[in-house]
Amino acid sequence: MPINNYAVQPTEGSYVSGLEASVYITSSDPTIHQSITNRKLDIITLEFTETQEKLPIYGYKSEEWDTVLRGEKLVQGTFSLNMKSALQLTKNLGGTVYSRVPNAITNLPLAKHADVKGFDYWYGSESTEYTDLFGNLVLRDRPVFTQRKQIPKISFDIKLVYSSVKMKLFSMNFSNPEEEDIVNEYMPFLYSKSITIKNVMVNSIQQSIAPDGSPIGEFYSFIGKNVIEKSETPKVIREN
Amino acid sequence: MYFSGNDVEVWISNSSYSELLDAVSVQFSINHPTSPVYSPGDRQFQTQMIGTKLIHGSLSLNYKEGTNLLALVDKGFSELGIYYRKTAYDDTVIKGRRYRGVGEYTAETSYFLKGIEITARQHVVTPNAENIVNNYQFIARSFVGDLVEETLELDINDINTA
Repeated sequence: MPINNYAVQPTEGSYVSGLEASVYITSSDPTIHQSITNRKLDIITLEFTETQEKLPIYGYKSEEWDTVLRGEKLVQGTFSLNMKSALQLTKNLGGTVYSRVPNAITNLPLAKHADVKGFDYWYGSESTEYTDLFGNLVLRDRPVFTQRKQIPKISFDIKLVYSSVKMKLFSMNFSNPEEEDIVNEYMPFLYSKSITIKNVMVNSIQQSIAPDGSPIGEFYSFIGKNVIEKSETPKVIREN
Repeated sequence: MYFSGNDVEVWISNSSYSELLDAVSVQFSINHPTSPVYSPGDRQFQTQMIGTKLIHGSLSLNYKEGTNLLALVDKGFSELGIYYRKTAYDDTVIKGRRYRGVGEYTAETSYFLKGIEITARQHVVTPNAENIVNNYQFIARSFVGDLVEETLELDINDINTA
């Protein structure tokens, strides 16, 4: 007999833990590699702080503040990944940390192109290069954190999703008007809620290597614009 | 009678409605500095200048549906109430005779932090089964505390049978 309506019993809310958390990266930016968007990331920890500056204003002879001025809002945080390849996330995000010398230098007469350890560097003079004991080309005063001619506006969203299945009371009314009985039954419900950190930009990357068998971790710190929370309506998990 | 964290409820309220918070921890500090004023040649200060008061604190809430402290504060819920209530049973002496465990002692008090403003929220996810909590930092405008009220209730039936 078909179910014509159902009502989710009011719930007092359910707790979540880190075991129910999944982290995704979402973005509409075409420069972000598609292999990384809308996929669950292998994230170990995620931590963020949303700060809203507030300045209490005291009037003349006031011991307690009279009003509060609102300042800037900023989201700062860190997340860590188990390393699979070097700077895996950064490369897929468009290489915001490793970048090239401005193209203007390449117009110099002695400009050459060298491939150093997998990264493309442009340099402007013969005098800036030498080889080390192993024959590797080393650039003197080589740029590490340089600017591109056009700094791409690469930002993405971090979506943290908590989803859990819990048994809840499920009320069913049947379409037959003669049968007005309401059947209450415990059924599995899927609860999900999400926290989205909007307009995230990676600031720095740190790698931690310990002399043991633990996986190498990469720690990313980021800033974001704001945080949006969303709770989905609980859904019944039906058997086919 | 001493209070513990098990005896505490944390509420947030506006002028007409209160909501119980699923608080894990709460702490606050009240800073009201005074500066001593010395007259010329004095070794001890003559008076004190009272400065401005500011209350800082932090509050940790279990993260679950319907718990958004930022939204509540934006809607005008700006009073944080911390209620302490403890009930214990103890011996009672009536007319020189000791009755064992028939006295129900209740002690209660409360603190109110008024003019709450949230300044930061922290959310940490780690791969373990502990509850996710939101840590809030706040400032408040004023602090009101009640004196501890202690009451004693006696069960006559217990006294008769004791």
